[in-house]
This record gives sequence, structure tokens and C-alpha cells, in this order.
Amino acid sequence: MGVTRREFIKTTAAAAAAASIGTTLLPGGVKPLFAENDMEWHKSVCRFCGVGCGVLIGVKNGKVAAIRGDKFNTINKGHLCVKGFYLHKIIYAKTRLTHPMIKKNGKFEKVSWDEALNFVAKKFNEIRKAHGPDALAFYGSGQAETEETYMANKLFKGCIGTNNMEGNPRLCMASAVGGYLTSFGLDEPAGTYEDIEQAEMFMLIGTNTAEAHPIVFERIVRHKMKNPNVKILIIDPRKTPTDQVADLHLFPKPGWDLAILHAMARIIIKEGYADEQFIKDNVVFKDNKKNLTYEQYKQFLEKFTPEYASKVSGVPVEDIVKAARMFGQAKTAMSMWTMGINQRTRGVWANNLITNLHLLTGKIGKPGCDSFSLTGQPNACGGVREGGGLCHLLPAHRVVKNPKHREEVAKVWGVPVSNIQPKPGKHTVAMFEALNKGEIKGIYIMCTNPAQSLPNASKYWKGLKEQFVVVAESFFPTATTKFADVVLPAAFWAEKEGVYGCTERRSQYMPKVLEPMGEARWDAFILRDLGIRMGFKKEFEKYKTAEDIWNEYISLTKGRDLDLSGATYRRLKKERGLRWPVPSEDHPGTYKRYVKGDPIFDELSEEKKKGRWIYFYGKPEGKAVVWARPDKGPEEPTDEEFPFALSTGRVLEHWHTLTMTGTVPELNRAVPKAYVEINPEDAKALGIANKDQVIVETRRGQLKIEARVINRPKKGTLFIPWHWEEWMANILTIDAFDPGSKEPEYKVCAARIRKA
Amino acid sequence: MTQTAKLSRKSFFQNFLSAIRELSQVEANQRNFILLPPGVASEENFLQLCNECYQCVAQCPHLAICVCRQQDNLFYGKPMIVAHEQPCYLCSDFPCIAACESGALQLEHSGSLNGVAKIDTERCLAFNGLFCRACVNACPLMDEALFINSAGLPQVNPEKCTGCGICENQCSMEQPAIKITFKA
Ligand code: SF4
Ligand code: SF4
Ligand code: SF4
Repeated sequence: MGVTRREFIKTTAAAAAAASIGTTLLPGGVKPLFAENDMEWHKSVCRFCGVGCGVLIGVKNGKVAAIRGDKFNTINKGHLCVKGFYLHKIIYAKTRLTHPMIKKNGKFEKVSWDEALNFVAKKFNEIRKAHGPDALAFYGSGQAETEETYMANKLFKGCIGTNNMEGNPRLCMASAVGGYLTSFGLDEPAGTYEDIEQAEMFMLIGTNTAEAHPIVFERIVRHKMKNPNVKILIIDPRKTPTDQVADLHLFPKPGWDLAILHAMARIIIKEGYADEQFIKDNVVFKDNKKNLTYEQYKQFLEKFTPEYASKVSGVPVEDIVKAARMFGQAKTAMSMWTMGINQRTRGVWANNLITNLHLLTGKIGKPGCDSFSLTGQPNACGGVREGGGLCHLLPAHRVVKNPKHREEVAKVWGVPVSNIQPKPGKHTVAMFEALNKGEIKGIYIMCTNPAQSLPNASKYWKGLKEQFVVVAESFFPTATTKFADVVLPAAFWAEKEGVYGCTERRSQYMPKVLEPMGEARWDAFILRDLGIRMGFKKEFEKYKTAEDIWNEYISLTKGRDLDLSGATYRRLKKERGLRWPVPSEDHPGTYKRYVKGDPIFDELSEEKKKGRWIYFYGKPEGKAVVWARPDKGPEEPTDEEFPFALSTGRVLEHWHTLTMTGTVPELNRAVPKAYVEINPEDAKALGIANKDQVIVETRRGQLKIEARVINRPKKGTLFIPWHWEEWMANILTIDAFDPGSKEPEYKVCAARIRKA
Repeated sequence: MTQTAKLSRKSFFQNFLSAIRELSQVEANQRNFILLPPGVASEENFLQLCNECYQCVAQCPHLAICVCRQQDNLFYGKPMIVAHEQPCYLCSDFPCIAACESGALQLEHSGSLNGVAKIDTERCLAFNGLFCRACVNACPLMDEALFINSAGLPQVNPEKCTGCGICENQCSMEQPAIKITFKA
């Protein structure tokens, strides 16, 4: 540990005191709180979730000794959740990987960087020569910096010439992307966190905000405390800590909530809560095949009586009616969702149906109104959605299919445009399938742990075992490094600079305050050096600093919807992030898209806008789409053989596959192991007592795990937090995916449970 | 982890150096609290009846019961629970009580232990502006015995709290900010 125990207690207590709210000791204040400790504080961003809290990194004697919330950061205003608070301990984890290793005769051996990179370059080039560029693949992360993803994108799509360049946001945000694109024509929310304090009503659907996005939840709680009239509707199959603020909770059977959203839309229109003028001016209607008229859409909705929705979802009729009225009556409403909506075989549709409610009531584009998707990872929006780190994308919301986009990017990359294939590469599940089949023979995995995090994980170990696998990681071992042929030590947070872009379109700068541990290097430079060794010297040698990469990236955003031209390092180092579009260095960034104040809206000609106050410029005529989507259920509904619906999810104290939070004793103690939550009634019927060992089984595998008998999951449902390798929930989950977004249905599958 | 546990165990026992002589002579709040296995009628009663057979220690499936080894402690040699290391999970069939032949542990008193949780608001992360609720999420009577109050802070309901110590065990501070202590 970097600090002695006594020092730790002192700093924790002090930092805790510093973080206190409502006292004059608010963190990040002008007066340094640790004067006697000569602690140096550096403004940065939390490493964990998509909330994007600002942190201050306390450095003393060359070591990071404490973390505190940044009072001046508008997102968290000094608050942090317990994960962020313990970040400093992770830097010094015993499991840090400090030197490159190559597996020789089944054992990892320490090698020099030269040997490791030469070996990878040689192998990759051999594979490329013998089997073509599509025999290679890259699998990245929403936790990598934008600069890192950018380099990988260039190396694989631009130089090697394969679009098999994916990232784990496919597993968490792809459906939200699909939802925004189909509803508004452009990805990412119109609103921002600022809407929270102006909303009269919240619809939290498929989100356990209190645990997965704690500081967003904190803001909602505070807002409701000050304004008791604020109404909160929760739609979630499980009772969670988020229920602390619920006015009404609908418990649909997992995967059966689409009918509820349609039924709400029907009631909203029937009872006169729709904003008919808004609809007339700004909305068109469509179903999966054709355009509809408003009348035809109403016809479509006729099927979705509250009684029908109740029958399908198991939610009482009165609750559905109440929910619809709550949404309709509120002057302003914000909906938020995350994996419960996205990780579904109908994730895109579910996204559309949420946005429908906002479009029908005109609760979009105004303060306090938005359909606001909560992003899981800290840089899923910034690096991967905006940076183009998926197999069909190119940087700055471009797509490989579009010849103009390919040209623009090839020019900046300095590569022949023919290098960039027009056909999308393999999406995540297909990529690992291809690895199993041997179609992909070499893969570079960066900053993520797919051997544990893929759905139906064990199915994909075969390919990882058989093919050539390079893993760049800060921690060792992980479930994935087991299968690696080469592991490359990556610099961790605070040991590198770069940019994270969070849920609310805000890009924030993170400084380097430490030298990387051991021989670890920055991922972007590992990729650069690998590129040079693979023969792309001219393409890569020009990148000397992180800023070089960032500048090139933002030059590609010029004139795009996510214009970041004004978000230079110089500016980002000073400011607490900037929300795009931010077209020039003197532009303050954008609170709301599609309306006055959005530079793109402001520049539209009057004849285009025709006096409209909102214009969805991603769609023809600026009209957003209300979708009449069928109400399909989950891929694997429960049946007699597997009568329980199984969901997986997170706990507040841990992050993903525990490579980070698992190294913090305090967080391990808070939640030491996995468990399966089962409703007391179900437990009783099956003779299962609290803390009994049970076997949870699905068509894909079985897991021995401890039972937690608790009144959280509804009868007939089970819940397992998925963080632990030892109790790997993804052995059980299903790898069926949304045909649109290709995002797998982690959130619903059929299971059975018995006493071990 | 083990390191932490060892250290805190040591410091825990050091607290006993300010020893307790006679239960009745010392005001409750002046002596250190000892958490006893479930089923105790009263501390006096337990001290009289327990014959130190350690059957409860042997039978507890969660290894929650250990033996007090502090020589000048009133409970020296008696079974006890150090919740910070391993709390009582209040098994539905109470193997500890079933194993107890002396009558020191009795089923009729098994509803709660001899203590109740108390939050040290000076040190609790939540009271210091951080978003933490590890104790509440861990509590088997979550939202009843331990709940998030309207101010968004963890709060104990002493009426409902069983004193099992799971919150103390899982508090995300190195030195727990929530502890089982004397009932009011
Ligand atoms: S809420 Fe998310 S970003 Fe904020 S401190 Fe917690 S993990 Fe970090
Ligand atoms: S109730 Fe169970 S966990 Fe508690 S002391 Fe008795 S045997 Fe151990
Ligand atoms: S777990 Fe500990 S620090 Fe966290 S809220 Fe509970 S008492 Fe406070």
C-alpha cells in the first residue's frame, strides 16, 4: 500500500470530512485542507462509471494518497460514491502487471518490450499475409481513453484494413445508440444532467440508478427532497435501493415491458395528455416497414389496452394507468434507463418506445425534459460511440458504409481510402464466434475482460484458447489473460493523460500525475509502436504526445454533430469538461441539442426551421420518429423446465469483473462474494434457506452459489451480481442478441434453482 | 485482507486492556461491549450458566463464535462474536443454541443478540458526503432495521435491529463506522 495505515486513516477521515456536504469544508475549495500534509491536488475524472464524477487526486511524496470529490465539477459537486473514493488504492494493487510476458510452453515468461512487440508484429503480419486482414481483430473498451481507441481504430481499420474492430460498449450501449439513431437520427441524448434539477417527474426504467449511477441518483434524491412534489416512477422487475425514492413501482416480468410503454402511450393520447401541436410540427410515425399516419399509429395502439399490457407483463391495470397519468400530468419529465432496457433482444425497440412518450407529450428539448440514456462505462460515449470504436463506425459519428466518411477519415489518417473496407466488420458476439471457428486467428484485447464478461462466456473460451491472443491490461491475472499468448502491461488511470466523455456529452481531461508502474506503458503508445513494427512507420511515428492524437481526432469532429473543435487540451485542462457541440474555443458548449443555443440549430436557415423552436436535424424535415414496434418478449421465456427468469447486474461497491475493485479490501468486505437473490416465497417453496448453497442452472451452464433470500426480486425471478470470476454469472446468461444493435440479452434468460 | 483482519483483531483486543472487573459496578457505557452468541437471556444469566463447553463454537457453520482470550476480561473463556471479523447470520435452526446444554443459550431469547447497531456519524462515509450504503445493502432486515432515511443517510431502527453485526462486518471503512454496542 502506498500509505501507512495510520496515514491512511488520517487521510481517509480528512478526505471524508473534506467531502462533507453542507459544511464550509466542501472539497476542492480554495483553501487546501491538507496544508500540513503538503498534498498536491490534481483535477481528474473518476475511472469507473459513466456518471463521470470529477475527482481530485491527492499526491504526496510521489504517491497518490487520497481521492476526493471535485467541488467545482458540475456533475458531482464534490460528491463521490464509495468506488471513486477508494480509487487511489487500486493504483497500488498487488495485481498490477508490470512487465510484458510471452507464454512459452504454457507458462508466462517475462520478456523485454522489444521482444514482446516484435513477436506480436510478426505474428499479426504472418496471419494477415496468410489469411487476409479479416483474420485479425481488435476488442477494446468503453473504459479506454478516446486517444487509445482512436489509435486502435487507425491501426486496424485504416492500416491493417479490417473492420473487425469492436469494443465492449457493444455489450452495454449499442441498443441506446440504435434507439437514438432511429428516433432522432443522431446518437446521444439531447439533454444533460442539468435537466435533473428542473424535472417534475422521472421515469426510471431498467435502471438501478442508486447502485449503477450513484451520483446521478444522489442528484435525483436531493432534488426530490427539496421538491416533494417531484414524482418518481420506477419500472423494473426487481426492488432495488433505487426504490428509496419511488412513488410508484411497476414490476413487469423480465423482458415483457414493451406492452406497458405502448399502453402508456395509448392512455396519454386518449386522456388528452398528448401535445398535439408538437406532434403536428415535429413528429412522424413509422412501423417496421412503412410510414404511418397519426391515425394509423393510434389504430396500432388500440391493441395495447391496459388490460392487455397487464396480462402480458403481470403489472396491475391500475398501476399502468397511474404511471401513464403520472407521465402525462407532469409539466416536465425525464426518463432514464440503462442495461435493463439495452441488454435485450429488443433493446432498440424498447429505447424507441421510451422516446415515443417524450415525443407524444412534447417533453423533449425543454428544460427538465429528456429521454436520457445512462451510459455504463466512463468513456463508452466519448471513446467508442463518438470515437467510432465499433465495427461499423469511423471517428466522429461516421460509418464505414458511407464513401464520403471513409474518404474524410482516410485523408486525416494518411492512408489510402481503399484500406478502409466499406463493409462493417464482425460485431462482438460474431467476432468471438469467428474466433471459435478459426476464421479470426489473432486478436488484440485492450482494457477489458471478455472471458468473463461475454454472455454465455464459456462457449467462447475455445477460440480464446486456440487462437493467438494479445491482452493489454493493467492487472494480472484476469479471466482473459489466462488465454493470452502475450500480455502487455498498460499504464493505469493517473499514470497517463487523456480524455473521457461521459453520459451527458461532456468530455473531460485526465492528467498524468504518476509515472506508470514498472515497465507499464500507455495503451495508445503500445498501439503506435506495434503499428510501426508492423510496417506503418509513416502512419504512426508522428504521434509524440497525447495531445497530438487528441488534436487529430477533434479535427475530424469539425462540422459534425459532435463538434469538439473547441475542446482543446489547453481548455480542457482548465475547465470541468465541455459538452459538445463546442465548435470553437470561445464556445461554452451545449446544454441542449436541437433547440436554441445548440450551435447547429442556430445555424440552420429560417426557411428550414420555418419558425419551429425544435428541429431534429438528424432526420428529414427535422422530424423525429414515433415508432410502432411490435411488443416482442424475451428470447428465452420461462417454461416448465426453467421456470425462473434470471437477471444479472451490479452492486454499488464493485465494478465489472473485479480487476479493480476486487483489490480494495474495504470494497471486498462490503460485498465479499456473489449470491443469488431469491424471493422468500420461492425460497420457502423450494426449501432454500438464507445462505444455503444452491445450484442455479440454465440451458448453458450451472453455477453453485450462495442463496440470499430477500424480498427484492419478484416471485419467479432470480438476480445474480455478475462481478466475480469464481461465481461467474455469465456461464448462465444467453448470447442471443438484438438484430439491430447486436447487443446480447444479458438481462433475461430462463433458469431453475435447487438446493446444492 | 488477512493483514487488515489481523491488525484490527489485535487492536480490538487491546481495547480490553482497560479492563472490566465487575459488570454491575461499571456503567454500561464505560466498559467495552462484548457481543455474545444468540439466545442469551441476560449477560448475568449467561455468565452464570455458560460452562465453557464450546459446543456452540464447534457447531456454528459460519465460524462466527470465538472464545474470549483476554485474561482480565469479565467474559474471559466465554464464547463471543467479533462481528468485524465474522458476524452472526442468525441461522433459522440455531445450531449454536441447539448445541448448548447448559441453558446459557436458549431458543426463546434467539430473536436478537445482546447488542444493537450504532453509526459513528463522525466517521461514516455517508455522513461525510460520500455515496455509501454497504451496511444497508448488507443488512438482512434491510429497510427495516437499517434504512436510508429521508435525508439519504443510513439510520438504525433499534426496535428492529437484531445486533447480528453483518453491517459492522461489511462496512466499507477499514475501521467500521457502524458497530454493535449496548442496547439503550
Ligand atoms: S458515481 Fe460513478 S463516476 Fe461518480 S464516483 Fe461513483 S463510480 Fe465514480
Ligand atoms: S445463529 Fe448461526 S451464525 Fe449465529 S452464532 Fe448461531 S450458529 Fe453461528
Ligand atoms: S457501510 Fe459504513 S461507511 Fe458506509 S454508510 Fe454504512 S456505516 Fe457508513
